[in-house]
Amino acid sequence: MTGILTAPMLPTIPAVIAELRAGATGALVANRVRGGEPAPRTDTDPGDARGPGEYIAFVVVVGLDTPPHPRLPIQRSIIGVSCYGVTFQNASAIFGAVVQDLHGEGERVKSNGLGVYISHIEGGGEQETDPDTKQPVVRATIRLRATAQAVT
Amino acid sequence: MAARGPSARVVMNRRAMNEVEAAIADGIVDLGRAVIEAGDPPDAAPYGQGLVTRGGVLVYYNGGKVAGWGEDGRQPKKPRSFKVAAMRGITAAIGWGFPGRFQEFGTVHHGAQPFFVRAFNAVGRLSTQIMRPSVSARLKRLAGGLG
Repeated sequence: MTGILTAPMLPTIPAVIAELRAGATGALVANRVRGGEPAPRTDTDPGDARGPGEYIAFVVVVGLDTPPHPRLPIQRSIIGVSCYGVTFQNASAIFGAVVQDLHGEGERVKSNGLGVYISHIEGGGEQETDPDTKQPVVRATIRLRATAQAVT
Repeated sequence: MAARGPSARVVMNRRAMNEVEAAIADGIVDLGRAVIEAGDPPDAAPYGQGLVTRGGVLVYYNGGKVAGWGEDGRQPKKPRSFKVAAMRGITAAIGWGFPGRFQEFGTVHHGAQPFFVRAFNAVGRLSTQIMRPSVSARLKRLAGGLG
């Protein structure tokens, strides 16, 4: 093997979810920070995506693009965060909490060894409604520079 | 559909730019076009109906439109959230129309199918090469004129 990495590239989404849950965002959405999609409806739980009058606040984190660096064992991860709120003001407040939790956050090493150099909010903030449930949502785009392998 | 020539307003707005600015604006159109052509929006049956079908580029200078390009030959409409009136210098919007945003980020009932960021990242690192044909010849001509 002549590749740059000696182990599979580490994912960045779990680190972002953990940081949002532990920060101001988690407090605003009662730790409902999901990866990929909202919590689904079950027999005992109506799930995150509800209709008008029953909205609850939650956050969905999705990976948009994570190309590894061509020559170095690092990755440049672009992550989308959808902040669903009970109202537009609530959705914007959650967006603000996401900014507080991640914007300009410098070096840190996560429990799985993922080293994050820095994370930035690159865009977002517009208020819109989800096309299915009409729930207010504000989206953010996050750029993360991180190691591709565990830092030892 | 064949592309129409620039409108009178675009021609007037371009007159406000100097040669360097005009070259950069045209280079940005080439860059945006490369991003759109590299993008692969998700589609499903019935194909081409109600889904992302059309990408485009808009370039503004000091709040006035100076260039544009659309995949089907028509100029795209400016997104409402893209406020250019107070912007100074060259500003560009590159992307796909509705419902591209929902494809990119997903909705409560629909997972994200990102295609724009991927295309932008892939093409962005080639921006110098893509913009060079539009920009360098005009800058050389300008430099020759100065010499």
